[in-house]
Formats: sequence, structure tokens, C-alpha cells
Amino acid sequence: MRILIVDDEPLVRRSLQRAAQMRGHEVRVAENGVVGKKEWEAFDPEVVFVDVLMPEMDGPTLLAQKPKSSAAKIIVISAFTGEYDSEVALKMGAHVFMAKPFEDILQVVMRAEELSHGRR
Amino acid sequence: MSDLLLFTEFEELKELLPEQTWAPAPGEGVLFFGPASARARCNEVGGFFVLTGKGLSLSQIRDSKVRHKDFACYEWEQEPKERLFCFNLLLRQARRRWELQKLKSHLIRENQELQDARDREGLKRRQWEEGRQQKSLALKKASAQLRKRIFFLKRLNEAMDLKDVVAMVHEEARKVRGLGDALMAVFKDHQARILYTSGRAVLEKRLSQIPPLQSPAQWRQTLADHLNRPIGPLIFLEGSKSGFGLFFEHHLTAEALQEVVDEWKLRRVGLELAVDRFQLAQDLEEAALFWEKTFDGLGEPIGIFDGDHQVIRANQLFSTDLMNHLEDRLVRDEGKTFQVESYALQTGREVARGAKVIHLTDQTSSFQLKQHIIQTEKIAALGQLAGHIAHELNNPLTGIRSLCQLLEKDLTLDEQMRQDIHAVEEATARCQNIIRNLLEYSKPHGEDQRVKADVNEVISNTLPLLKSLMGRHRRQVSLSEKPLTALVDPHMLQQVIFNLIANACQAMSDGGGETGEISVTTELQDGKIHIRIQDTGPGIPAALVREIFEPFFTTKPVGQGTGLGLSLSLNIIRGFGGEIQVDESYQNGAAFVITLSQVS
Repeated sequence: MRILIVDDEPLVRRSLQRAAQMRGHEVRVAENGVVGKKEWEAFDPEVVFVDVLMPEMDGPTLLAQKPKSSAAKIIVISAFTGEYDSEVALKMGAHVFMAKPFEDILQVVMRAEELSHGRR
Repeated sequence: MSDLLLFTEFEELKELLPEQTWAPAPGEGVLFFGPASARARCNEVGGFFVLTGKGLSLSQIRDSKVRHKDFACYEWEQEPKERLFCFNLLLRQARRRWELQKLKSHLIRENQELQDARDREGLKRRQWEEGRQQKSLALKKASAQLRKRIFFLKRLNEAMDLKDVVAMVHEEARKVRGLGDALMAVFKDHQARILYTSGRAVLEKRLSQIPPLQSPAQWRQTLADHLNRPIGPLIFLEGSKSGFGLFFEHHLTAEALQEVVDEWKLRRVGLELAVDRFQLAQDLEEAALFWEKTFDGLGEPIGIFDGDHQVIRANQLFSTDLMNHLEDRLVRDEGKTFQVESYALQTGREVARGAKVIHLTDQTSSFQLKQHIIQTEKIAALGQLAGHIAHELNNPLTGIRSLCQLLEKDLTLDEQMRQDIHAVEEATARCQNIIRNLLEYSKPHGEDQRVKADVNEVISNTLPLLKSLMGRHRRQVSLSEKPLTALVDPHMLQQVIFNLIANACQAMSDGGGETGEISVTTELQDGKIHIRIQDTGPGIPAALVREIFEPFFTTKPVGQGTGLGLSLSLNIIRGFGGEIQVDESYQNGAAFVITLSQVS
């Protein structure tokens, strides 16, 4: 499964990437929306993790400019739970909202797998 | 002196002696010439009777001279010359006799008058003598009484109190035969005290009810009841201002009784003065005591100082500690905060010159309120800051924790390293926990999050989540049968209950690890919902009861508690318009009571 991770926090990118790779997935990462947009077009991921607050281009902007052809499942991850909850995320075009911090990183990846296989 | 007159009924005699003046009627001082038959008439009017007739018999003449003692006999048939001579002789004799008689009667009358006057004078003198003696006796008695009275009144002046007065009255009473014990009733404010002697002592009793003053019989009964002894007949003297009544037992006769009553009526004024004096002194003393108590009883410290800053007077709350800090505007003492206020003392007396009253007003509650507001603002600012920091920290922490979790799965690592990584992961989890709490704490609790919810239902939903937390501890749940509806955010309320129960479990586990019991009770009281959560743990030390609700206060070892749990819980419940309190009367552990308003 191809997974794109767009997050400005290196440790989040790194851990999520490692967890996904451990589960046998192909992963690409981007540190902001601009890079994320390019990767999205080039990589055509099945699942995209998008952070909300990022330099250069934030999550909502990225989601608004995502490739029209993409059928990727979108998971919004944010530590800023005060403003962004699942409802807002869904309006933005996401399929799932996940609050940071994660309790268990592998659970997060497994949730992504479930989403991609059509189970919500 | 009037001349002797002549009278006769013999017309011949009148003709015979035409040159003579004849009286028109017989009477005193009259020479009466008449027959024997006229004698009685002449004697009746006191005239000199001359038996007159022609040819008077010897027996007639003898009768006249011896028996009737007539003045004379006049034979007028004799020679005219002789007849005239006799007549003139008779007249001269009669005149002399008449003179003598008049003189004699005058003397007798004078003598009699003299005698009468002498008698009258003697009587007067005797009467005067008697009067003088009586007067002098009465005077002596009166002056003796006056002396006694003055002595008594002088002694009254020396009396130190009412008991002395009663003792003196009693002593005076014993001097009079037939007068018994003296008792005094003092009336004040519709109450009466009875002062009575017992041996040498003067005792006092309060009367539960005052009999009417007009009824000595009722007084006798009342006094007998109170003094537990029979009371003899009473003399009662009422003070004119009704401030007191004086009683004497007596067995006097009516006359002696009057005398005693009169005497004591005279002494009454003096007694009144004495009683008034002591009543006044007592009133003053009571008034002073009353003010002293009032002053002492004031809820705030007050001191009165003279011009040299020396204490004239201070109430009980005005401690020496406080006095040392009077220069300051605010003084703290025994957990209270006082504001120092002072003003000049105005009494118009020399002593009070420069004196001032220092009044410490208790500002504790307003001071606390101010502190509370500052604290609240601080917390709000802290909350905002915490939000930002939490957000900034959450990202790297998520990464660290996630990486640790992944590393732990790496089978190439040895056990030692895996444990190290596990320790890092756990520490990160704690950091996240702290941040979550901080975020929760700083999150505003808007009313829009509140819905009507059944508190019992919220608790019932919470309890299953606590299973692993409760461990070995027993659970005692007693929920009110009626639905308890409150305007709350059910999730938040759940969090508070969860928090309190988690605290309880932890406290009981720390306290020796024995199996404890947690009881959760709900009830409705006066429109308020009470949720009571109590444990059988070590309880909360009284000194910490206030502090446990402060943010960042914790008794748990470093790393085990954020110190935000209770503070957060209180914030949440206050957001619902409720309150969390510690029931300090509960002794077997800790008991928290959440109070919420019931809504319909």
C-alpha cells in the first residue's frame, strides 16, 4: 500500500514512516503542503496522512488542491484538537480525523489499512 | 346713789303730806306705807314696809315688830304735828337704813367679784401648769426620737451596700418591743429581690413573681414560700417611687403599730436616698459591664489610644501582635486580613485629647476574593500559554513515543536496551498525559456544551470503565431512585467522576495495599443533587483540604500526578454552576461531594 505522510514534525514523519514500513507499506514523506502536493501527484498514494498546521502550505490548503484523479483515503492528524475535530476534518474532505499524540503508532497504521480496505 | 322714795296706797296720807313726792309704784328703795294686807306685796319687791293705820292694836304692833320685823309702825291718827315729826324721823331712819343696805350689797357684790376673779385665775394657772408638764414630756420624747432618727440616717450614709442598709434597718427594728425581722424588697425592671437577715448575715433571693403591693396577705405567703419559714403579720412601707418596699414582722397593738409606722414613714426619705444610691451604683456598674462586654464582643479588633500612643482600652480581639503592625495599611493575623482605620476619639474630656480609635476592619473575605480573582486570571493566562506549549510539545512527543513503540518491536535489540526504550516510551506517555490535562484545563467551558443529563446515568456509564482501575477494591454504589437531572456536559462530568474515583483508588492502594471500599452515592436534597464519592483510604490532612484544589498541587510522587486533576475537576463542576467540597466530618478516609443544581 502506498502511503504519503505530510507533516512538518520530523519525528512524527519518521515514526509513522517506520511503523508503516514495518507493516510492509511503501512510504513517502513531505515536510509541508507544497512538497506534499508534488509527492501526491508523483506517487499517487492510497492513503495520505495530513497535518493541519504546517509552514509554506497548511493541511486544508493542500486538501483543496489535491489531484482530482486521486482516490486516496485522507487521514487528518492534528495536535491542535481545540479547533480541528473529525467534523471539521470531514468537511475539509478528509475521511478520518486522528488526534495527536497517538497512543499506539501501530494502531494508527492499522486504522489506515482498514480505511483503505473499505472498512471505516 | 338714788334717793329713797315713798309709796302708799293711802290717799289720806298723800293729802296729809302734800309736800312729799310719792313714788308711782312700790319697789326696791321705797318706803312703803301700807296696811298689814300690803306687807307681802312690799316684801316681794324689797321695799321697807311701814305698817300704817289708825288706832293700831298692841297685838298688831307686837306682831309687826316681832313676827314680821317690819321697818316701823306708823299711827297716823295722832296729832298732825306729832305725825309729821314721826314721819320725818321714820324717813331719816329709812334713809340711813337704805344707804347702809345699798352699801352692804355693794360690798358683797364686790367681794363676790373678787372671789370669782381669784377662782378663775387659780384654774387658769392649774391648767397651764398641767399643760407645761405634758409639753415638756412630749418634747423630750420627740427630741429623743429625732436624735435616734438622725443617728440612723447618719449610719445609713456609712452603708456600703444594700445589705448593710437592711442590716441597719433590722438592728433598728429589734430595738422596738414587738417588732420582728425586717425585710426589704427592691424592685427593678419588673423584677424583685428580697433582702432578709439570717443570723448576722443578710441574704438575697429573687422573686419569681411580684405580688401586688396592696395585698400584704399575698406578700406574706410569697415571702414564706421563698424564705421557707412562717412569716408573721407584716408592716409594709412602700418607697414613694416604688423602688423598694420595707417589711417588718410584728405583734404590736394598734396604737403602737401606728407609732412605728409613723416613725418609719419619717425615715423613709433617708432610706429611699440610700436605696437609690445603691441602685444607681449598681445600674452604673451594670451599664459599664454592658459596654465592656459589648466592646469586647465586637467581631473586629478595636483599640483606643491616648495622644502618646499608649493603649487606653482594647477589646479581646485586639492582640499585641496586631499592635506591632499598626503602621501598615493591612495587617494579617491568624489567617485573617485587617485593614487599619483610625479616627479621633471625641468625648470632650481632657483625657481624650489626642486620643484615637484604631479599628481593624476584617477584609479577609474581600481580600480572599481579590486573591481569588488574581488567581483566576493567572490560571486563565496560564491556560492560554499551556495551550500553546502543549501544542508545540505534542508533536515531538508523539514522534518520540511512536518511535519508541516501534523500536521496542525491533527484535535485534537486546533486553537491556528494550527496557531502556520502554522507560523512555512510558515517560513520554506521562508527558502527553500532562499536556492533555493542561489542554483540558485551559479549554474554555462554554454553556453550549451543557445538556440536560441524568447524573445517575452518567455515573452508571462511567463505572464499567473503572474496572481495571478499581483492582481489588470493593465498590458500593447507591444511586437515588429518582432521576437527577442536571445541566452538564456528560463527558466532562464523567471525567470528573473518573478522576475522583481514580484518586480514591490510588490513595487506598498507597495506604498499605489493603482492600478498600469506594462508595458512590447520589441523592437529592433541597433541589440540589449531591454526588458523594468516599473511600477508606488515609484521608486528607485537614491542613491540605484547601490546597488540594489548587492547580499543580499534588502529594503523589514526582511523575505520578500532574496536580491538575482536582483543580480541573473543580473547574469543570464550577462551569456547571456546581461545587466540589471535601466532607471534613468523614473520618474513615476521604469524602468528596459534588453538588449540582437539579433542573426540571
